[in-house]
Amino acid sequence: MISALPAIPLSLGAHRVVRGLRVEHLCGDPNLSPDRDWELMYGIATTALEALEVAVGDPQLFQSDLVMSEEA
Amino acid sequence: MRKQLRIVHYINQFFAGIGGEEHNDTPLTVVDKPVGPGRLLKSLFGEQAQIVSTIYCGDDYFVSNEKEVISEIQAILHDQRPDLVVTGPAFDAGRYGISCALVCKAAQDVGIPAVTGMHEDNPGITTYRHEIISVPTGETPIGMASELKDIVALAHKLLEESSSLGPGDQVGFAPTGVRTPYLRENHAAERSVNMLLARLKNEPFSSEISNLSYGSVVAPEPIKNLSSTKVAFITTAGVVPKGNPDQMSTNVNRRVMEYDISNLEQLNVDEWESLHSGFKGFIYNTVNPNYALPLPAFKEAERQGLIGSIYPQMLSVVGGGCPVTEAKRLGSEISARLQKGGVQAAIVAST
Repeated sequence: MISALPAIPLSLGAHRVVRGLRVEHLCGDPNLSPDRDWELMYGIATTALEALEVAVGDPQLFQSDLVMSEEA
Repeated sequence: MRKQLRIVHYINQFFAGIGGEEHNDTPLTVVDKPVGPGRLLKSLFGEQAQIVSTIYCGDDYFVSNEKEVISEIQAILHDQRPDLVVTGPAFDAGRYGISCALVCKAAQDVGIPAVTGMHEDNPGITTYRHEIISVPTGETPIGMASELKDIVALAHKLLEESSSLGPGDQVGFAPTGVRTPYLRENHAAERSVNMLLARLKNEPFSSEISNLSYGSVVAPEPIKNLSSTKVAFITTAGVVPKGNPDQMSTNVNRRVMEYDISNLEQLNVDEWESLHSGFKGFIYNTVNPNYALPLPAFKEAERQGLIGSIYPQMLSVVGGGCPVTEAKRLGSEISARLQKGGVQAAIVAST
């Protein structure tokens, strides 16, 4: 699950939670350049796909490095 | 002296002293005296009541012959005309809990109040929560004496004020999930400020929104070979073709929509919109609906061989204002559809 508010699905027991950007623009950011925006979207999508291959027990947060650098 | 209450008590073969699982096929039997926990029940009611009949039945027999058993029980109730039916308590015994709940329902259907007791996780309560009055019990009969006292107290309340019983968590029965509107003395602003003041002073207060238990789901096994996996994509942003031709609701949605994305590379902003009313959708609707479902990225992942294929339909729901029970129903509908479509994994983009 890709979520802009990962704390909520994690607290409710969703197992593979991927950090998105904002509720209003979950998988990208219109304020960025088109290239950077695309990298961000692709980063979130592939993080979500690759999370499917990870064995999880308790709810776990997955995040794309690109999202982390945007957030910082 | 008040008229003595006439009570019919339902228990299973174990509590009737017939035997354990080896006797779970015991047919429905009626005796005209208290049996097992009914003896304690009788002494707790004292002179106020008499147990006119005890009905017992094997758990397997009950669930395998449900219709016949229920109509037989209703015939007995018609014959006995009790003021009240008590069932169980069933603790955490699943089939017994279901039987107790069904007997309560059968009694209520013929106009006789009924009360039972079972553990909060018993399928009897999780399945029939809305329809039965059940005292919460432990998992085992270890606390039966005090739990039977609770059942007796609740039975009296039920008989005296059946129309205004509740709320469950205050009166002593498992919340039924039914909300009863009523007029409060103070308006909401005043109540919330009082609650805040109590909190600041470390005084007790209780929220007016009950803390629901959402249950838990076992983590799905990891995908072994992503590059040969069919993946489905779901969005909770209510993404639909522009103009909302299927009239999907913008809030408290009850439907899952499916739209063919097999020939699309992306969701064009002049062809798609998000109609979720719970947030500002203007970026999805004027700039880029793919933010709500990153279709171009998934198509690229498919081209790169990261995933095997994409389920040809995207699934769209509106997350806002959706009660948990309804969300569970939608969730099982979605998983049934995807399983039928040979999908092995799904990604939800949740706004």
